[in-house]
Amino acid sequence: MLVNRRVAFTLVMLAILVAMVGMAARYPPDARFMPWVLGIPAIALCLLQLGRDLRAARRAAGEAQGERRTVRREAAMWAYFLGLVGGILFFGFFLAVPVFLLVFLRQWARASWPLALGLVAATSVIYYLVFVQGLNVALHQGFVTQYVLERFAE
Amino acid sequence: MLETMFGTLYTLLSTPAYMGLMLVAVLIGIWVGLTPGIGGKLSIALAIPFIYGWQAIPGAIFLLTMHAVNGTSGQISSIMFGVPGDGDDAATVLDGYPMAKRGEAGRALGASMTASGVGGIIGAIVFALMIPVLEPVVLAFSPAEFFLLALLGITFIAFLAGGGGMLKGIVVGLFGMMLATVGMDPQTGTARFAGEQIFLWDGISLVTAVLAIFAVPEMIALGVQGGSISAVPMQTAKVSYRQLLGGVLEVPRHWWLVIRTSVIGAVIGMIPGLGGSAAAWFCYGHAVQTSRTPERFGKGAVEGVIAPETASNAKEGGSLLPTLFFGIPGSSGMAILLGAFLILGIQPGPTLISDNLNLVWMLIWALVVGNVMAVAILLVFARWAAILTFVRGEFLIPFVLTMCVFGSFVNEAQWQNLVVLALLSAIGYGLLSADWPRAPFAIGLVLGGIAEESLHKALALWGPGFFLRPLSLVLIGLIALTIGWAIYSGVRRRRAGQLESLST
Repeated sequence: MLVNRRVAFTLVMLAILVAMVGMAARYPPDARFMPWVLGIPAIALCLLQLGRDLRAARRAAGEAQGERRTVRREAAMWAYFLGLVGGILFFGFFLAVPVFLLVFLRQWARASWPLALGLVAATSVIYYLVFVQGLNVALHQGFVTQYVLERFAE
Repeated sequence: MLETMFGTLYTLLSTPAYMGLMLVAVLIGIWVGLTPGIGGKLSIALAIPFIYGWQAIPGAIFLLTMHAVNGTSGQISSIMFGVPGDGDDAATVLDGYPMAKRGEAGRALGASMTASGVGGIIGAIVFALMIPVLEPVVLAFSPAEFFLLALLGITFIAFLAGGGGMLKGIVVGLFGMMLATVGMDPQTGTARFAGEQIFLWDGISLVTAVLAIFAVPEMIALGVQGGSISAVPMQTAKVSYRQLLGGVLEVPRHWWLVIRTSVIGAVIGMIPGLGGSAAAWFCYGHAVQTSRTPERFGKGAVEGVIAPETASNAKEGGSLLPTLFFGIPGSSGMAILLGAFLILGIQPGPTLISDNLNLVWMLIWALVVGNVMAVAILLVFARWAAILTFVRGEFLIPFVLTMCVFGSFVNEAQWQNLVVLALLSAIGYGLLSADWPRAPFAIGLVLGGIAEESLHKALALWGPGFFLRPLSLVLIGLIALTIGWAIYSGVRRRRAGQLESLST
């Protein structure tokens, strides 16, 4: 397989660097100076790395892949993480964090109900005391939660 | 000087708040060292949100103490199960694990913990002794040199990745510096790479970036990998106090080796890019070479435990020196610590010596007192501490991930940072799974702003010929030497590999 994980990532890095250097072209000379001083050598080095990765991929072509299980677990872990971030954005910290902890502990870590519930309760209390009471942070309420609360207030 | 030195020690010891903070930091540091999946770098990244808004001195003491004691507890799994917590502990396995297998785990642990603590203290003393020598050197640096120092820092840390990894390391470092240019350009007022997103005008949040590049990918990888650190039954984790005491006494018995390896470790720590593994392995080799009975090494010689442990902890004091005075982190952990110091309002550089010597001494004493505390606590609780290495990764992941999202949000109270966290985490995971070094990114991001400002100042002062200044030429020479050495070692390794494959 010519485009393996390493080649793909080098391509992603190259694309990001090229995009940034391209975007900087629209800025005044003083503003684009540093991005170009850094970006142009970075692109050249990234191309060199791409060449090395392609050579290594050609040598490794035909070797057993056997990473389907890894990809499945990676996808699941990313789903959990993005679910947590999305959950916070839409439903806020107060709802999303305990739900995420409970689902993860039950589904992924295979914790028993009492252990999972105990850990979720203890963690939620600690987070509340540290961030809300201790650091006085106004945690994000979530777009949906905020909308619903405003509707109720009306 | 002496007044500042002892005045800060008195302040540290007589302020209950500082001592309380240090105790908490030591306990967290020990826990982090023991627990699988959380390294020293990750612990600093996760602690940054909690120290947000703190004053510089308590914040810096807390983070440095936590970082410094990681290594002291990390050796438990190396000795008891033959599984090193990180590269620094790998050399300890060679003799520590054989000692544990023949029923001397307690003696090995006692010796390694005490050696580690003593190494940390001697490392701090070496750092303190260097201050008067360094002052004139550091003050000779101008903006031109500071720009080159930023590049040198990235080159050194990229060198840590070794061989082919250096190329990737430099790309990652430059990428980090590129991301440091996101936001309002101080020269022209142009919003670079920010578009209409006002929250990006102040730049990318350092906390968010560090969490995304280090913490989140590490947790996702831990989830993919699964399991706990040890497959050894939990009964093996028992040690006796009599054995521990026997091990403690081995350190004064080998005092000359302890002093030598501590000083070597501290000096290696001062050279950015060499790192703790180099210090540990170098001193292990030194112990073998200077022993009258080198044949005992590898089979459970207590000197083989003492030498790497003193060195790897002594290097913390040494690596603080380039981090604080030149803004070049001596190790990848120091790179994140440097970022945290900036968040606390501590500007690393030559002015620290002249304007903030109090803080410098406070940090030195924090290293000393923190190590004493860690050794005392570990010697008392070592019997139970080993059990922590059996914690399953799956139980850590959700808590660390939620701390990451809290940390990312709390820093600036902007929900957009959560989106940045998710995007940068994808890049961080890509770096991890494609085997790209991540530490140069942190340095690039931290030093990017300083480098840009220094470059503009140097150009304004001396024009494009600024790099012809004598000190600049030395730094350019060092960069070229580092890159050249990496290429040379890569070629030599490849040739050795080819010869080996031909002979088989």
